Amino acid sequence: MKFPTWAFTNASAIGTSHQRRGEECQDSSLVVAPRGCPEHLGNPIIAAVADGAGTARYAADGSSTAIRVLKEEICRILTSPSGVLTESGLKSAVLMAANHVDGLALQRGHASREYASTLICVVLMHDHAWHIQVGDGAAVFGYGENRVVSYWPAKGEYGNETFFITDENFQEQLHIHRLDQLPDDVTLFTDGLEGIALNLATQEAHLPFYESFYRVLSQREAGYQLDLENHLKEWLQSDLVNSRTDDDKSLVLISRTRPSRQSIS
Amino acid sequence: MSEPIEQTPFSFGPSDATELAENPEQRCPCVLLLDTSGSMAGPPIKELNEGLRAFQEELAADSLARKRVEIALVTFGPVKLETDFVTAENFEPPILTAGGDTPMGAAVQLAIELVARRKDVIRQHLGPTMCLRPWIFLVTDGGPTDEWHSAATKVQEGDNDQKKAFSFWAVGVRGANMDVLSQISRRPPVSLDGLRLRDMFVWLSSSLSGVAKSQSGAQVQLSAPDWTSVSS
Repeated sequence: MKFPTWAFTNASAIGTSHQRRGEECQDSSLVVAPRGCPEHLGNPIIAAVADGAGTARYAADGSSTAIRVLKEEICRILTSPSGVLTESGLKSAVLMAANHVDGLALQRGHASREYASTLICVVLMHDHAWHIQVGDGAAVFGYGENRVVSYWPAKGEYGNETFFITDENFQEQLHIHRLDQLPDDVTLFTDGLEGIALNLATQEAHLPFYESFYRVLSQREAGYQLDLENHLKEWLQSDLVNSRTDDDKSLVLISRTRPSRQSIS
Repeated sequence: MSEPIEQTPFSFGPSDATELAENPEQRCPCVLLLDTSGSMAGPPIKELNEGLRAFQEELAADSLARKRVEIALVTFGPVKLETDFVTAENFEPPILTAGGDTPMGAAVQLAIELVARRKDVIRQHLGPTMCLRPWIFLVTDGGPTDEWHSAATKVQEGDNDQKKAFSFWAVGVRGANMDVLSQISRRPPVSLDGLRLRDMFVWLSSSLSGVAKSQSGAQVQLSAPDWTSVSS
């Protein structure tokens, strides 16, 4: 049985509002192909983005810790003999990440809310996928010509309010969903890119945005695309993007590779 | 001879605006509630007018805030809606003149009604998440000449961590009744020594710009008298 393989890349870039104030980027992102998984799992991928709350002093630590711990715990499950991911297993993993962030705050004598962060994670298995989300930003799944936003960015009463893993009742805002059909591509981004990647009025993905990336990425061989990461970093800091948002920006792009060509004998 | 092959330049990601989604900007409505009573005649009203111009200029110079911050101008007394909500880039500060009493209570209630209606309009026409928490910014050099306790109750009811209907700020210039202001405003009112209204307006424009953008507007504080030190 041939398992799907993936070409992927990611980048996070500081927003001009933080840059102007000499502050750091509070976004974090990652995409990895864990090694040491049992063979029957194929080539799983773990991707995550997280956006530290603007008013949280140590938001950068909050977002980076959250995705790191979540990724490590999912890796641990995937590399265990069964390698089975379940909804409750993922919920525990998120709780572990949230607790870790709380623990870090406690250790340093800070309030948890100074580490507030949103969290989006997608795990690609060989015939299904998982989507975890707390807060805003989005994961967009490509199926043929369609791009599906199965969970719309969660906002509070006002457009600049959302939910964080450090909120007392964040579990009420925890979305975990199993996608029974494996997508052709997956895009993750934080709220800084919502305005250019989504049509807010129709609640749909803006297709040309994704096409401009996937016509390149879909032609690549499997693995992390380091050269594209550099292009992505540049693009995230371009005038085109910064004229539309001054927020921190994160983008993860994952594409199924073309079926490998047979060598011509 | 073979023709040179034309290379399309390598492009990864949207290269022009057509590949980006077009969405309306979020709006942050702000009511400026300005005392133009008789005691403001002379240098105070002059400072106020200059401050208003600086306010508009600062906001208009910010490419995102100019479209997102909406300004309505209410003066008192008598209570008058000088300018209904317009985006900062379209705001034309009128020249204000002083004269009249100080019906602060009525003016505050009007401001509260204005933001409530504006929120509905924005949500209905632009989308449910397109409105940011509105600001009401009161500047006075005296005390109310009308009944103000009802207004104070409404401010307390609206500006708190549960209801979050708006954020209410009060600034007292020379002669202001700070005691009354601290009963109306939940946030401690700021006493502006001298007439540094221009600085105050520049601070306000900067704060609104911040709120109108990426930050959630929870923790902005006034730090008197140095308008440049605001923690957010």
